[in-house]
Amino acid sequence: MRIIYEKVKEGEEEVIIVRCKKVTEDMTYAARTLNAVIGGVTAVKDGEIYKLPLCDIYYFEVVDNNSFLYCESEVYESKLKLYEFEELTYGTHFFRATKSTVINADRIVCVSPALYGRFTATLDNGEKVMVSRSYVSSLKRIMGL
Amino acid sequence: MNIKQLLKTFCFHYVLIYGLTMMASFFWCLASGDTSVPLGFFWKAMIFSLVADAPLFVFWSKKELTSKQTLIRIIIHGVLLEILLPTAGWFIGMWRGVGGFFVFFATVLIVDASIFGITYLKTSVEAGNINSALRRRKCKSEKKEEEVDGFGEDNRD
Repeated sequence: MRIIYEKVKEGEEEVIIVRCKKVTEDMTYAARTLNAVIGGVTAVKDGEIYKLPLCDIYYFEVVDNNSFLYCESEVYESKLKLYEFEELTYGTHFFRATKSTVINADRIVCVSPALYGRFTATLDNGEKVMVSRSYVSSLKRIMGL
Repeated sequence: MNIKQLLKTFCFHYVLIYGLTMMASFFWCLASGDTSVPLGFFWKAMIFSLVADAPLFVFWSKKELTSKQTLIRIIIHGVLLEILLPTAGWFIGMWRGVGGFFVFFATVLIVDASIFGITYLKTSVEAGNINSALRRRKCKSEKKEEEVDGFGEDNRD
């Protein structure tokens, strides 16, 4: 299958066109994922609404039933529940790291061992986040281990 | 650790502790020349294993534990083991006298510390593997970025 990129003019809407003989589940899933990756996630900061591309999100965390999206240096609020964010990022490089966080594996620089079989993941902005023992298999799967 | 995960670990540890207790008893009997083991010892060893496994519940938590909270619970777990196991051991006749107590106490400490060390070592090896994979992935994505630079066709499958 060939992949063709077409440049659109400034101000024109970006479109995903899938040319195929039959629309399969895999195709709709791929298109949905691409839309989420490029289209991004709606987030709020200081009363203003932003559309954040997935690649800019470092991790998603739920604290006392409030959801937050952590970017390189900014923190945004989100209306999404943890499972909704997990569904949205399914098939991407986001993975469940603890009971309350979903991390972008693309942003991990290195991991180091922590107490009781857990790991500390260092992100490329220097932030350190915990990866629970029970969820480390998801990170290993993404890494192809 | 959530309750489901905890129960799974509890069951696995129980089988492991019971197996090790019976094996240790077998070798102790061989070393001391006493080849007879009373039938009641099997039940006692089961209860002993249960007591050894019970402190695992200190790790139960609805929320994710912080590093500090984990460290505190590891210490509590160790202290509980050193209180409960010598007590249970005395009741089933595993040790007698002050010397026996110290040997038993030290054994529990060494086994607990070894398990802690092995877990940390295993985590370190896993972390090393993940880091190697991360480095490989980074090299690959850098190459890809160089290849797909601009618009046109990408003929890769």
